[in-house]
Amino acid sequence: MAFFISQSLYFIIPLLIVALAGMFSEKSGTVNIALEGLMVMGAFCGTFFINKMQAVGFLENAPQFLLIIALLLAGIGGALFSSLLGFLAINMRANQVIGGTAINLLAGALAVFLARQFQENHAVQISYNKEAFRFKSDFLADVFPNLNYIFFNQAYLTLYIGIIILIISTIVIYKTRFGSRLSACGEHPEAAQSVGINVYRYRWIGVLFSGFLGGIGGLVYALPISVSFEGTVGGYGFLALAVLIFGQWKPLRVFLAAIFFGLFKALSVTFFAFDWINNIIELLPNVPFGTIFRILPYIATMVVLAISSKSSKAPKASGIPFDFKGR
Amino acid sequence: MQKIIEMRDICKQFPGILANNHVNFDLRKGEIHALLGENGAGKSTLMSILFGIYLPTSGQILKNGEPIEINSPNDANNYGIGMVHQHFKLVEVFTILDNIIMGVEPNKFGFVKRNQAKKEIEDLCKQYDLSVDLNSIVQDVSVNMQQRTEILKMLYRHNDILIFDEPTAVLTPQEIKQLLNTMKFLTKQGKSIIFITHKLDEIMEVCDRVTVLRRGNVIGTVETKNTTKEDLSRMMVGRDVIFNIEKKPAKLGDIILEVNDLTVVSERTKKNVVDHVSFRVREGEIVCIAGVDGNGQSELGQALSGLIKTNSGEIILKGVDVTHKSIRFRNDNGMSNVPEDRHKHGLILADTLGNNLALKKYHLKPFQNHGLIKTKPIYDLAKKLIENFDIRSGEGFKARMGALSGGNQQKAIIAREIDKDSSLFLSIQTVRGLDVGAVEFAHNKIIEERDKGKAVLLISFELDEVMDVSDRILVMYEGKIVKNVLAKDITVEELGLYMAGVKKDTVFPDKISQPYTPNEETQEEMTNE
Amino acid sequence: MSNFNSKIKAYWKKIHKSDGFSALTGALLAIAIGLLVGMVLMIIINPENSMQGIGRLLKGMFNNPRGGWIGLGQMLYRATPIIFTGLAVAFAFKTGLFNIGATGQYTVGIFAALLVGVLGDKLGAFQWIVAVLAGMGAGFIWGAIPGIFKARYNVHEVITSIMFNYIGMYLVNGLLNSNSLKTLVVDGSTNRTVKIDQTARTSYGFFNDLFPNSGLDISILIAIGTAILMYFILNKTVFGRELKSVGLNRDAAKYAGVNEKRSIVLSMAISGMLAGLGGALFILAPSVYNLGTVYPIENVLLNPGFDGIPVALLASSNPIGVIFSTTFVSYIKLAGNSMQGVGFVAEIVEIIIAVIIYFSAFSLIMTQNIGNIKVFIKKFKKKKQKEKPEFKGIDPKAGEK
Repeated sequence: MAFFISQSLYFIIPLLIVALAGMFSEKSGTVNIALEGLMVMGAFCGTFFINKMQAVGFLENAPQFLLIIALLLAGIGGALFSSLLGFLAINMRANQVIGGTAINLLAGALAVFLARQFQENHAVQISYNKEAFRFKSDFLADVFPNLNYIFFNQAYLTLYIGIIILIISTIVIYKTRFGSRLSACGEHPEAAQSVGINVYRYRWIGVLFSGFLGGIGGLVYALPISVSFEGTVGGYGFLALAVLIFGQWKPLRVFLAAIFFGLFKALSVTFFAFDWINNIIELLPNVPFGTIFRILPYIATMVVLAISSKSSKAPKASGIPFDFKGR
Repeated sequence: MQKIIEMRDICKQFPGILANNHVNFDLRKGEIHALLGENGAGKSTLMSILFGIYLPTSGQILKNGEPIEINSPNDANNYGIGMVHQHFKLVEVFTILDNIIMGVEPNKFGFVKRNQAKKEIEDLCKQYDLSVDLNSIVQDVSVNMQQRTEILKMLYRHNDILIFDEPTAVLTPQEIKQLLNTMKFLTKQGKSIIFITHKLDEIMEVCDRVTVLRRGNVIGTVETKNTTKEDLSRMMVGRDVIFNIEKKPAKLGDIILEVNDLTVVSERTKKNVVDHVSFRVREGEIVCIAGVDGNGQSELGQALSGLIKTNSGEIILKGVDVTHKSIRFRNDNGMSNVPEDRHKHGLILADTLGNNLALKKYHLKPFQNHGLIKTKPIYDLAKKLIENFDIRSGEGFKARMGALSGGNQQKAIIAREIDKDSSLFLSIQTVRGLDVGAVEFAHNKIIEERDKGKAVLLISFELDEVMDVSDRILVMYEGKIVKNVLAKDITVEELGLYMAGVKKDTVFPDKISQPYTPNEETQEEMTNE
Repeated sequence: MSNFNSKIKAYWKKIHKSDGFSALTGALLAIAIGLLVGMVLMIIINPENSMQGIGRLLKGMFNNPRGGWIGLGQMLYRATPIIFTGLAVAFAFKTGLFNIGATGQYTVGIFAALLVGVLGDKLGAFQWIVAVLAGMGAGFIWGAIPGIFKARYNVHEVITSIMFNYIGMYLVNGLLNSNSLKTLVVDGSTNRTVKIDQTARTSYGFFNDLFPNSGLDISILIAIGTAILMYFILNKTVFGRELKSVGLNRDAAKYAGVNEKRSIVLSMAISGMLAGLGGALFILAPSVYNLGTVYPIENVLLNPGFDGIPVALLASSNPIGVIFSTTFVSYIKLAGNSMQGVGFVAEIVEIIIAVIIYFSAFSLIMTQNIGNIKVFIKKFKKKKQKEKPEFKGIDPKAGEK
């Protein structure tokens, strides 16, 4: 069970971060279908940096510090890349879905291109040693062995960063002037503009912040599940979009949605670890459980979306370019 | 008296139209100054310039005699200018409190201090006798309260020059009275008010002066006490306006539309927005459903046209139960429908005018053959309608629909629906956004249809329209029909009482629309003529 | 003479003003920018070989060692599946839907055609056509599902079709690995599917004589025919008009009497059917040196499904345009392969394509508004001259003094 929860966290946390990334963009009024590409860019910047630094032994004794720098770089890479979306969607008022698609294409191509260009043997894979970042602490192992396993032994710093991002996002959206104005720009930009709020600026901040979080999410996703990054994040950006819709653009509900999907996803890779599932599999040799468990997260999300989408709470002006008249 | 605001020689050029042509306007401290004019006369443009939404092409604005520059609503706000827009600028999913403080949030390190704001606003509410529920979400409260929210927004910003852009269009007569009182009270507290309207009665009641605009030009500024309604209307339109449209008495025929016990439940609130409504419409009469916006008329109209599902009851069109029939069936079997929202439902703005004029016909012969579209008949139809209904477009039927002005877009819809030659003409907010001339044109066309023996059902939020064209009036209040009366038997004031829910009758649908029933005196008068 | 001139002018004006013209100039502009970016990139990363690399980039299919003619055949062969997925995406776009699920529909199309192509030997001469129809049917269903979710539950089709990409891929792989199918259709040693029966393979037609061993078969003709048919349906029929009107304004279409829910489901289903057809014709292809194509059982979404999106966007969703945009993309992809020979990474081509799409997203807006831009510039110049003295007049500080 502890193994299962620890595995699901590897899925839940990046989904949470990236869905929140999407939330900031959509709350400000820009549909962000480029989350996938932002993740790729973030993961590329982060893993490439780690790869090079680990090769020269930089910060070998302070791996968590190295990870923090890598995360920041991932975020900056994502933010820079999201400015392409911002320019297209906010200044050029172009179709945001097309723009997002172009950015996804570009990110995938660029990540592979750069990796092949700057690595030996034109290798696509950027490998890294993730074990260096694992906490492997046992300080609660005597009292709560399971909790220790999940939160201190197998965990990475990214788990806590994800939770901090969730808390900060919640506070920013509900308690601050910035959050309230940001939502106003995505709900009714004319109203925001009529009280002197610079809609363009808030939409830019929303998109850049979205890029920053999306980039971080990319690295957070790539780090624990593999030993190398190959220029793709396996459709997680799009899944995060589904999580965002399922979570109705509210931070805490997004968290619940991420947990929901993450648990199912983890089940698809860890179901063999459960004795009772193994027993069922043995009882029914002809049922393709592997396939069923792989499909389950997607089916479950579809069902939930079908139930919850009728009363969609999407920001009303999201996806609609804002045009300040009269100039 | 002191001129608090003066606008000198303002010009505003839009592509293809001169919206303001050397306009001069001034506002004195403590007065209510009406800005009168038809739609498109340039009132809103002038005020948008004052409020910093538009920059003037040329001209000068002075406050207290000193020139100022207003480049954005922020600047306007800094000079103490606030505005209640015709379409409220409120974020519907926010609380009233958040809407009032938006843009000027009291805060500490970026964290909004809502409690402090709440106290301040509650004081304002007391001072100006305006009651709102600060914690309610805007989309859940009445239009009336939304308007008070907008007023509080200005007061919270300590604005002393208040612009009201057609504030009474969405209110009942009683609510209008209340608003006008509030406005008078505000001027007593030292505020100065600019009141944009085209309702002459309201001007005569509260305003000190009136500036009349026509086609971007100032026709004149007069003291209210030295003028009359007739003079003002002549200044506004440039000719004598017939306040009562001439029409022949109605000749009733068979029942065309029969609505029995119709109920529509709102998906959001789960309440009956249309609540067991029954009525009839006969050939040769214009029935008008009056009421304040938001009392279920829109939903009733959508249910009749098939856009939303009904929960119980039946709709019978020419003897056929169409309650569960498709929209296309209704379209093809005798229902014409001018929808309430022309951009959402009425037109495909990205398509051409020609295709829009054929929107409800291209699936029928001769516009198609074996599923293939034939362009020639479509173009011929378009040319005919453009000519007959005087639809003005730069490039004829090939013009993109979105490029036409609002008035011409509405004309295109009216043309299309009248051309369908249906037995029922259902029209919701027919004349919204049309100028006086176009309104007259549309009303005459509708009366023409009636005289041809069509059944006409109008849904209107404008009392003037209701009184002008209808033969019979049904008043809707909170989803129910609370009055069924012949137009000539009721006064505007009494109608207002029903619209506000102060008076209610038990309405029997059959009694009044039954022709030739000897014991119904009213019917005698109507049909004998 | 002057009459003739004015006629030409009027004609030019007509072409110039049409939507198709601005879409074409927009696409060409975007392509030029994309190629430019690619060239600059090549010069930066490898200045020595850059000229050679750029030469190969522009030569495209002519890089083929067996000559440009065979290169042309190869290019068209590669383009065929993408024309279908491009048509799928374009058709959906025209009706206001974003079908990002073409890859899933393509995959189930492969699967269905594969089953018939391997197991349906009893069908004899009909095996090919049944396999093609099976692929279309599978794609139709896989496209209809997101349509149903959109129409009935208001779930955005982008989300649903992404979900069904994964569901389709895992389902197909799972079924192929299932006990009942594994022994019949999977080659255990390579973990790929076995070859399609000879009778079920698409005919080479006259292409094998024309472009020997290029792989090209009659699928390309089917692709072109399908594109023309789609153009015809969208522009000339009542059915197409209704689908398009739902795309332009769903509410207005509903009000005008179109059954908009049915239209959405049908649009997505037809779109899926096109992608499924592409998958079927891919797997049934006789080529790869006459051994036929096979499907590798890996848990990866297939690329041709995604490649349909850029070609559709580049063509402004015009079905005929999709043929040309796909040809262009295949052309520079072939260039990408041969550029590796002189030390350039093939992904440069992917970057170029992405840049083209990025710019096509707003170059269309730019070209449509060229007139407005001119007016704007004129105004701006005038304003600059006029404004300065005027605004001094209403400077508050100037007033105080």
